[in-house]
Amino acid sequence: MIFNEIYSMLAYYLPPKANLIASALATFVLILIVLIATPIILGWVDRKFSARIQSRYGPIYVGKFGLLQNFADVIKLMGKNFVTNQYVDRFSYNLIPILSSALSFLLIALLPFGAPSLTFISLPYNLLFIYILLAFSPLLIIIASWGENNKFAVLGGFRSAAQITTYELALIVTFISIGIVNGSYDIINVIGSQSLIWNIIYLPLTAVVFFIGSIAVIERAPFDLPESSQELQAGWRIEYSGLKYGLFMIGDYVKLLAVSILFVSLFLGGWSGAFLPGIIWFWIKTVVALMFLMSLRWSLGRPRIDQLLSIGWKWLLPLSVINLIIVEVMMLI
Amino acid sequence: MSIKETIKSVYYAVSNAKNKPATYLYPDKPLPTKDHSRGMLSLDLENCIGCELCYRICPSDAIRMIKVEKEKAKFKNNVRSEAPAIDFNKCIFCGLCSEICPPHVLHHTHKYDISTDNREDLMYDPFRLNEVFEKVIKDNADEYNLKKNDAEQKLTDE
Amino acid sequence: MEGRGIELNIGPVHPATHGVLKLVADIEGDTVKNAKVEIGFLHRGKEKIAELRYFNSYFPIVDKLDYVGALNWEILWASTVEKAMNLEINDRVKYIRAVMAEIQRIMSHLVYIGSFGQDLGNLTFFIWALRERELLMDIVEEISGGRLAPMYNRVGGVFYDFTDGIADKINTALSKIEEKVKKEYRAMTYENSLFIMRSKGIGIMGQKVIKENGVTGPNMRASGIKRDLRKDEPYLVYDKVDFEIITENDSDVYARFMVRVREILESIKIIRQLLKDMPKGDAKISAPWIMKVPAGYTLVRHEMSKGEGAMFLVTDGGLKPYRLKIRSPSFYSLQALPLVLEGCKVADAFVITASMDPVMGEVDR
Repeated sequence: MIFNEIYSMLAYYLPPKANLIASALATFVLILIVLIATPIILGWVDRKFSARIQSRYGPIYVGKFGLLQNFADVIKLMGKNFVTNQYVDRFSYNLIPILSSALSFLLIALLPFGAPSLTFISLPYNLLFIYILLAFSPLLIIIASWGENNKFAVLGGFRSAAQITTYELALIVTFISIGIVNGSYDIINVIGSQSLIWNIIYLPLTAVVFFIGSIAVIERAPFDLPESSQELQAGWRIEYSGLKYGLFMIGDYVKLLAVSILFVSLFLGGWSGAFLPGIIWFWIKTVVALMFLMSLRWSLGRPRIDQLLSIGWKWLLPLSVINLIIVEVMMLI
Repeated sequence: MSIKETIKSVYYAVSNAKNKPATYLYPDKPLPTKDHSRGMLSLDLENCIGCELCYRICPSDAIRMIKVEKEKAKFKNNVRSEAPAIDFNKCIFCGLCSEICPPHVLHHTHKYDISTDNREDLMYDPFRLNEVFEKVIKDNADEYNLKKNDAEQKLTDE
Repeated sequence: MEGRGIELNIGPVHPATHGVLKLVADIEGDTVKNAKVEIGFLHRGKEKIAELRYFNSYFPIVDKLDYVGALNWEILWASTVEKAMNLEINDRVKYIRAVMAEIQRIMSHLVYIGSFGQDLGNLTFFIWALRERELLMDIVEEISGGRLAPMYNRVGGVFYDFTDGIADKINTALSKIEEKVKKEYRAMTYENSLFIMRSKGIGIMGQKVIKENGVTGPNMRASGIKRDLRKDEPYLVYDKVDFEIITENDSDVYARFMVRVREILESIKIIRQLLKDMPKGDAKISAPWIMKVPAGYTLVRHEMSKGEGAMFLVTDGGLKPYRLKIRSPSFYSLQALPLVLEGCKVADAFVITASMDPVMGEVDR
């Protein structure tokens, strides 16, 4: 854990009790930096990449190459008034942005950042806990949309909850397959057992199912129908304004980073590779996975909600179950 | 086979990212205009004959004729001592007045960004139009002369 | 089970495209029970203005009818007045007008397919289609001086002759567009599985609806009716060019899209033939500036990019028209829209409206 690393680094300079406090503070500052830097850097990459795909310049005025553009946007969001409908249910309306973004921050804290000792929290059952955090969102969405007291928000919220519930079933079956092949539910052990052959060569079908399922669970295009502004009235975030909306956006970007780190750790071998130190391999693979995930949003259209759900139930879930059976048979041989 | 084409579309999208952007960096750099582009109008005041044809043909009533003193404007041949004043709030840059003008004194410049803060600044009287002519057209007489010769060949007036 | 439906206003201020069109839809569950179309938000009184302007100075107003395909309407107005005056135009002018009309048809169809892709959530495709349209906009600006309102035709001819070397530029631009339509647009739209999923089998407009409501143009040809004014009653030089009428048989949203994509490729073929055969000569205007037109009734019909457009001109021997009636094709497509929207899902209502290609400038006049 990062806490242990900092503790052992500072043990040379400070007495034990002060060392505890100092390294706790340092870990806290470090995770804050990671959480703030993620939407800013990922937002910049998203905007510039999408701009070049569309043959135009992206942000170019704020900072060199527009690097500070998202910084300026977050400051602008923080300065907005909270315009609220007077009939909302105050408790659930105000609770959900905090809870939802806290869940995504917890998700990042569980994942390794390039080496076995670089996690903020280390648990022996990483994978299952991550699944619980990802799967908790439908409940929060339903509470939020009900609390907003707006019939279009309720419609959008129910659709979003239905979509996430459908696709997370395929995801748990995928995690079970990985647990069977690699023998443990700890991400660090999974990466360790891929040092010879990456999982994607053993389990290509699992990789595809995981990829599609995870994009649907984090509600990123092409599965972002509940929040699209083309169809029915902008979805369940319609009554949020200012920083509350910003917290949802930050949560989205953080979940995007978490899903790409997860994909790299489970299927692409994590930090194993030749010639270069592991941490550089890890970040190269994560960047490639991120760019691929981002480019899907800008090149594909959206299916309709009933087509989305029918893909989930009729194709993805049976595919993942068949995949599990194949894996079991492979392990017996 | 449509799944293959779906994956190909992602490939085409990403491979477009290496091409140069197709947009112009306006207002940092000027937009490219062509020879025939119709921008703001300018008036050669000395040669105007006050025939009122531009006033009659304007589709949006942007031209009014104003009495101007002969000595101040140095008219060569203007019986009524009048000249057009153009209201650029109403002008739609259609080019009919510059085509029908018999002595060819109304010319289009290539200037397209003429917006100001208040409306009165956009109402140009004949002397201001003459200033535009002096500054813009007389210096670049060659490139604007092309339009004048073409216009002379093509019009037959009644 | 009786449930209370919601009445949804898909209001005049709609994100991007289609202009100011208001749809009032009765929704129950996820299906549209019936819909009403309300137009008139962009009415500018163009038919009345025609009684107050000289014939040659009505051109800027005709430009703004269908602002996406303006040259087609200019050519129609010029042809109407020339027919009323019994004026003959020479061959070179006819070829120039045919080339400009086909260029405008390609531009109008590019805007259509771009905005249609955007309604399905694919923003990149919209910007790509407009980027291809820019290539042709540059050519229109070089020939005529204006981009969206070219003001190029006059009664009796065109104002500027083609400049030197413009034929090569047109050919280069057309080859680029053809390559993009055949490769990138195919992967992004008409053979893309998400696109096909969203557009096949919805918005079926039968032949009975078409015949009762007077729908013409690509919407009609997507249902198997093989009629095109360029072949049935040739005007300008269309009888000297070799091309085919494009039809599809399914009459759903996908068929209407495919008809327009294939019409872009046909128009490219037509322009290449016209540019090769263009006769040399003078493109002089052979008519006075402000003219008197003899009294009578005149009707001229041309094939616009959205269907069959017509102008009916009544003159009384003076300097200005007495009465002008404009028939615009999108007006009739919108009258057929409520019949097509019955029983579809809400998310499909936007897609079906987009597939009819309404441009509110020509609907409301």
